[in-house]
Amino acid sequence: MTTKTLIISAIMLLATSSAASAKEPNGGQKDKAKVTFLVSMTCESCQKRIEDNVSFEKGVTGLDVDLPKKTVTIEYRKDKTSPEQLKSAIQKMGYTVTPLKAGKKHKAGDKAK
Amino acid sequence: MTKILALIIFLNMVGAGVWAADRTVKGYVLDKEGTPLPGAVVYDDGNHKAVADGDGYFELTVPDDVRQLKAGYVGFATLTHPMERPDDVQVLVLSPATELKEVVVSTGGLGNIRSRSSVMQMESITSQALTRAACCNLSESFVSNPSVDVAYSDAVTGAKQIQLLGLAGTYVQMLTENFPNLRGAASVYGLDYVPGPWMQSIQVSKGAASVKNGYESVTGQINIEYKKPKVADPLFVNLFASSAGRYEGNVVGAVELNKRLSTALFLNYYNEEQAHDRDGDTFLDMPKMQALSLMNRWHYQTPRLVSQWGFKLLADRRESGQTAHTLHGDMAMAPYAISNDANRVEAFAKNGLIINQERNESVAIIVSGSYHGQQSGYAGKSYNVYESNVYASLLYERDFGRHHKLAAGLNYNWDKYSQRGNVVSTYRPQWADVSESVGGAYAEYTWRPSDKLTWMAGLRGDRSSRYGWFVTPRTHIKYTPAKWVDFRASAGKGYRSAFVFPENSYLLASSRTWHIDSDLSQEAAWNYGVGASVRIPVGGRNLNVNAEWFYTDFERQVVVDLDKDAHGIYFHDLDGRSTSSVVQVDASYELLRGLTLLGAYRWMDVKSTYNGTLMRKPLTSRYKALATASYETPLKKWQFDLTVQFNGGGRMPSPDAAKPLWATTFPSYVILNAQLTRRFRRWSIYAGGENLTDYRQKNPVVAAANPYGPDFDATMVWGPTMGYKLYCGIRYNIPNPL
Repeated sequence: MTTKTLIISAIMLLATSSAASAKEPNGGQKDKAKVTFLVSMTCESCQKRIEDNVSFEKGVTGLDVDLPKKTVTIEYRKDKTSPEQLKSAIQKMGYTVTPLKAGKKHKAGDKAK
Repeated sequence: MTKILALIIFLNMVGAGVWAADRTVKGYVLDKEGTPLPGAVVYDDGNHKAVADGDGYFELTVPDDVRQLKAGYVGFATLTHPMERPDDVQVLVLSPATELKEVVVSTGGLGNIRSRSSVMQMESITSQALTRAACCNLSESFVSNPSVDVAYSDAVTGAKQIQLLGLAGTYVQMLTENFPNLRGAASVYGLDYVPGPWMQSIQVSKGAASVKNGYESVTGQINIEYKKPKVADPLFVNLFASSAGRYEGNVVGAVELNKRLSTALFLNYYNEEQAHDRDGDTFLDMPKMQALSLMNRWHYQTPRLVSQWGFKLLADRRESGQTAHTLHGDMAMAPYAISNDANRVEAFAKNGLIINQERNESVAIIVSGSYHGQQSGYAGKSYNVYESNVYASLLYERDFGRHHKLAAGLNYNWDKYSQRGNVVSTYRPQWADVSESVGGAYAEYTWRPSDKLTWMAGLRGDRSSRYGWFVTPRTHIKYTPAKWVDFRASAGKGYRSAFVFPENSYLLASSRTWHIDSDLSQEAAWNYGVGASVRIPVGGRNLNVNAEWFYTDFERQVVVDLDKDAHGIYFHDLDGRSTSSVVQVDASYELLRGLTLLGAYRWMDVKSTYNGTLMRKPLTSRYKALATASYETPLKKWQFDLTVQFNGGGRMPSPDAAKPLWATTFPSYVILNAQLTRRFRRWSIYAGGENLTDYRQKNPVVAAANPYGPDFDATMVWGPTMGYKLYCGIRYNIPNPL
């Protein structure tokens, strides 16, 4: 009995959380923006360090770190943070950071992954 | 010999023609502030050159095997940029010329060789994966790994056995930091001796291993890397509690004393003193135990020298069996108490000297030693073992051009077992003091004509003080015809000296009498493997599929025969065949962003000759299947993990023909584990459950009512003896500022 309840609640937790997160990207927050940085990360541990820290920066609502392409794409709330603040947050971790213009070159990563 | 050499040269010439190809490396040149440096020149050691455009972007076509780029710009120091992943975008960061150039020796340094890791069938369990289950210690780290099984050896002592390719854990060579460890007496309880939070990663390689670490691996190698002082977080704390009454604490602290010297201190204590007897057979389901361990390691690094040394101390106390008197008829019987106390000391020193960085030439010396004292009592039976080990290894490596690599070296290993107690004096008094020393030399050649093909061949010769000379050949090949597929094949021989008492002490938890042949041979087996791994793009993501087959064929084996007599155990040389054939298929796919699924199926056919008949190995499942689902929310703040293990049925050791006390087979069963993790910037909390379906083997202790009688046997264990377990824990860390 208890085990059944446990399993069911675990599955429900899983289901509700995925539903909640599915809503997030287009969840109607009007003043959201995206910024992509080129970051001098070299390995999985750098990727993890950036993920661990940027996720908890104020105003961050989405994060995608692409190691082969060396890019960090951050979705953020405009009223809570700015690209400059996010850039300095990554710089503080010891990386070289530069904003990357959208739609530029940089196709190497596509092939690699 | 000359023929082989000629062949190698010929193959190489052919290879150079067929395999050499060009690749276009893409990247950016920036200064430290992230400002692009248009006009910066990027070049390789050949004549290939590119100039960065207005965004600092460049594309440079270089031969396939170039692993290093250089970049220059007026006013900036020339940069040498190693390309670990040449297909990735490269970010080249130049420093002003006036700044002193810091020489960075690539982390990992010695012993971390790319070609080695890629040529073998290797799986890595990272520290991140280790947080997906409770992972109190090494034995629990393989829960979601499709290749390795861990099972309790018996129903009372808490001893656990690892299984790889369907064979006992003693056929897997266990390494910590790339030197052999947890052998002999420590093989019985050793999986509990490595706390989970101490580990950085685990590498599991199946099949024949490299000859560098000796001749011992038969089914594979498992290497444990502890956290490194130089890169570990300054402070990591973990606290854990479970419904089984286990309380555990871990602290790992690391300090960088100066640019060259850093140290780390590891502490672990656990206590599981609560008594459980859910099946009411008067025997505890799990031992009451507590253990304290401490490790201190040091790291010293100059541009050319890497030195590491450290020690580890462990005290482990276990009590199990009965805790109260029982009545048998009118007689009150003393409790059948089982106790096991172990104290262990390990020390190691590893020194690596880079002779020439250009051609990767280096020398390394590894020295390690351990002392293991263990006193165990099984009611009236006593067995104490004091084991000493010394291991030394000298390794020389260098590249010959871009395509050839040679490693050669010497190893020495010394084991001494002092065995006391009435078990030894009853069965084999002449084994009170046994020792073996083995010295040997090896050479390993790696040919890598291009990124597509790697061939490695190793040969070693050793001389044992007990068994004389023996030769160990091993070879591996990896072929990557296209980016999406790898083929691997391996063949090799492994040897092992069996030490009956220390490796099988858990079998004393029964009334079976021991029958040990006086001169047992050195074990020897061939292992062959083939495999393919494929990455298929499906819906923008890769579906990773692996398929492999491993075959182990024993030439000589010390057979542990539980079949000949239900009241005895026979240790004797193999007389007939003993083989293991294992086919495994696994697939993983990221179904939705953050949701990763893994499915694996392993079919095992393990047979040996028991009492003159070729039979399936008892207490071994015919198949294992695994399904895991892992979900992370987009910012990785929440994580859910679900693991389902399907364990096939199998054969039990033959029960007594006249009075069968157990069935001849055991059924299949399912184990379900789940965990929920919530991460914060500095800390995370997790809660979960193991064996949530509460599956238990019924009456795992045979004749528990009369443990002093002839039928008592706690070793007929095939499934979990503990039911469900809930747990929660907290991890706190101060991250490394780097």
